Amino acid sequence: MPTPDQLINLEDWSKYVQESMDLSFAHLELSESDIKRLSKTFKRLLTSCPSLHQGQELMGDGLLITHTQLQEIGQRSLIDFKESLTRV
Amino acid sequence: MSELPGTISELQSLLKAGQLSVQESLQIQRNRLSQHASLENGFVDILDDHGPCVSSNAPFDGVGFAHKDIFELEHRFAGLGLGHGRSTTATHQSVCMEALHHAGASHLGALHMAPMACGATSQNEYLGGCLNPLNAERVVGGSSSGSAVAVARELCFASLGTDTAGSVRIPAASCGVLGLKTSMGLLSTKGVYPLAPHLDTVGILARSVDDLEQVLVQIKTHEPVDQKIQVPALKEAKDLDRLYCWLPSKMLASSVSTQMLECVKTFKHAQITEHFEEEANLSALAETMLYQQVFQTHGHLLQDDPSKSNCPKALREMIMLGAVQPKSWSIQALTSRGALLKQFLDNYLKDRDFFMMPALGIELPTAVQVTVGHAEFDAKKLLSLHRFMGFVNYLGLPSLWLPIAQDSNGMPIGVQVLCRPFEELSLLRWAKTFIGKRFGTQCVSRMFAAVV
Repeated sequence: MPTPDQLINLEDWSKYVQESMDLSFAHLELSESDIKRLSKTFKRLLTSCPSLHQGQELMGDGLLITHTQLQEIGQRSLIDFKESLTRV
Repeated sequence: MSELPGTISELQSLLKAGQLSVQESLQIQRNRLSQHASLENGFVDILDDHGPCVSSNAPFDGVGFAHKDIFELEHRFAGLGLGHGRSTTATHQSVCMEALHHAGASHLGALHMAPMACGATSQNEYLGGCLNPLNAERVVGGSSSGSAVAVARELCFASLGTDTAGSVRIPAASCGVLGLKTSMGLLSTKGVYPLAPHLDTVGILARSVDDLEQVLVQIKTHEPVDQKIQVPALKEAKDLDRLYCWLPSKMLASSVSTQMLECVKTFKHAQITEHFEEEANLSALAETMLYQQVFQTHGHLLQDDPSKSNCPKALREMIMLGAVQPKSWSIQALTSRGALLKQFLDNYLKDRDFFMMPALGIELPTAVQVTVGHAEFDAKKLLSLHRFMGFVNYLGLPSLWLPIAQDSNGMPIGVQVLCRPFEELSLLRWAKTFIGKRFGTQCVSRMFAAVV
């Protein structure tokens, strides 16, 4: 899991992106300019959103979560959110 | 009679008084379509389904609607901004389209959109863009571009669009028609091609507040019973003057800021604030969720198709962002949503009914200024089109775009007004009073002279 500092360092970020890609997405063949754009977007998000920093601290091993697990978290959170919408 | 009135309510009065028949009304609309329906005017396909030709005593007898080409119809796959729709036996009509059909509506056509709903403008590498009816040099917002153009051109009385991060409000703002993004879950997205299911909502574009209300009420009345959600009863606004206004003047063009301030001063008990500290955090979480959802929903397009030929450029970019975004960010965005909604409501909509805020941060740019790849492209202007949109979808709140003034080029300047979830009818009542007082007319688009 990259630290906020690493995210802002293009070289580390590039390494992280390549490592974190699913194998099935290897053919995306990200170019240097792709990586640069991704890095820029995430840097902007990270600097504007304190809770993303917090998330990183809390979820240090976040990369070990599979996409299926993430999907399950998404489904549960959607149900919870719909309930909170109708409750207010 | 060769011309029809501007709003559904006025048309219904003529039909009721016997001054016009349902058949005549539809014939006039068909004649108008045959003269003006084109991609530039927002139409991808004209449909054969013109609804009942004689009065069936349904509320929308004789009223022509059109829809963003993202809604499934019986026997028609949506074109999704990639091309024309395709005939098939496999699809079912979307819930909202079916409800309108049961209310007597005539579906006149499928409308232009940014490819697969990815884009804040009408830029489209497959179909070409469409033209702004108010000024052909100015941009048409996206992604429900045709939904705004067709209503402003008076080629239909109202249209449906979808809004995942501003896709109803931005086009409405660019063409000077009203755009209502509904509460998450109020209108069914069944039969609507998804972009990011946790954020997608169906929206309505029309020329008057009354028309918006009628369309909303009729969809809710005629949708299948098993699709209905319990909506709290209509609450009357306590006091129309008690609204909260976020006016971040440093983030806005001076003309936009000045007009907003002048507008909000007309409310005796408005509370104006420059700072809305949670916004940056909420917008970042909204963006994070969008990427995660787009990757989850559309990632297979890149896996299935290494040549990427079927994946629009803007969508590919979002899929990539979702694929390589730290998963902890996605989890953060997914799980903190309910608490942040409660916090927003407690802070801003507890003692007040409405939250007014900017829509576009700048005067409407020219099309080339926000066309990616054009020599005059200005990324900051493109960002300004959707800068204030995403967090509203993240919180699942309803939002109405409405005009407040005109800019130096005669184009609309407007605001978005938010309210508590499922209190759309209260919001529309407020808007009707506001527009009546401010402009002395209910047909907002005719103020901007968009009629061909």
